[in-house]
Amino acid sequence: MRVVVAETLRDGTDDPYFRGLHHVVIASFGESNIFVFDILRRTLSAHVSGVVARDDSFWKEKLIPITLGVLGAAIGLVPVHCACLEVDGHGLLVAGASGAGKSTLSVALAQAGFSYVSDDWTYISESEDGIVAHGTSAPVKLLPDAVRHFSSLQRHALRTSMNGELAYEVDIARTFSVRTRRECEPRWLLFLERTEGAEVEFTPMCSAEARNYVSAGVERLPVRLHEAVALRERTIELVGRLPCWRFRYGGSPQFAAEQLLDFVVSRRQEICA
Amino acid sequence: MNGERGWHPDLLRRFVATPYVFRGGAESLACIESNDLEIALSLWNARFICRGQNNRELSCKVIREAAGSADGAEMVVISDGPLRVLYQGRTILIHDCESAEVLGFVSSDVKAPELVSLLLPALFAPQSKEFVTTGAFTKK
Repeated sequence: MRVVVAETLRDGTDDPYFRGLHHVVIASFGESNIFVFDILRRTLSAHVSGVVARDDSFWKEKLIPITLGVLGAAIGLVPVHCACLEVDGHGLLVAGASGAGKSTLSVALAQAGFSYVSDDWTYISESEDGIVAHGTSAPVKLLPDAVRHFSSLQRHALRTSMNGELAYEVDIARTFSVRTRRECEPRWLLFLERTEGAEVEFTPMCSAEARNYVSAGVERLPVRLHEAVALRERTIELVGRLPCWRFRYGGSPQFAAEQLLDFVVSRRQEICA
Repeated sequence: MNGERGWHPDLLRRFVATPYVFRGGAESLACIESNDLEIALSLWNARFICRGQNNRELSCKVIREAAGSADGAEMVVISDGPLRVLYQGRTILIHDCESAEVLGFVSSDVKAPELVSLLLPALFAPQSKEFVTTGAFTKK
């Protein structure tokens, strides 16, 4: 990574703007803050204002996740639209459409004893023994109605997030006093769905569905990045081999977290048996 | 799992169709591609060659944006290794001198002659000894 800082410029960040052709991706945050990603050469060159250069939260909450998403393809890092939590060395991936409640459930699971890895995007890589799930330093993003379940959010203000949604974006460890981890080994993949009424239902799903979900969530890459595509396919195949369940729940996220804790304990016993 | 995940949104506009394609002769690897005929023709008529790459003609893929304005926007040029990027408003031009390519997005208010006579020369400027526009070359 090479960054040129224009000290005399005082511009803060503006709305993000992304474009890409072949192996090059450009991300800009206003006229002065421009990032050039070269996927083939695995480099990032940037021009930023003095203000942005010193804005820790920008680098931590925006640029690092974006960089993982863009350059990750070159090293087999697959972005999966799911939350990730860990308990006793066992990782749980919680997938679901936007608005399904992944972040809310992640906070409830962390309060129930899981370690928090990520709430929205998890980055999966291949390891010697299987796969590893990585989180980022991005804050947990909770929609306004989450304050009904987590009163500590009342101390925080809503703000406009990168995709334009109004949300609470908070440091989960500080706000909820829960444990966090940077990575874990995923053991299960759950697809989250909401239902009316306080009930839960676990239904096994086939690996093809899981593979399709992960494949559909990753960005299409140009033909010339065929090596990156092949690397990514291998990792997606490994994610698809995880035991996979559809998890339908109604009621509070705390209720769902209790049910999931029981589920994980019983599954873990199966692994140990 | 729902229908919304069955397709890939092209958020970066990487896969915009470029129906206007001009290719060089049998000996040339150059290819001009655009979704805008005026841009494609202008690039074709003012083809650039890269002397650092055995006089290789540059391939260009340039997308015309439907919106955006460069009015009053400052021009920023970032040069790092083989990549050089010009950024102005919503106009982005990228020159990869190793692969002898120019890639770019041109905002709606930038005219094709301006692209060829001002922006591309600005993209190549510090390497002016290595790059030349050659009207004669295009008519060989």
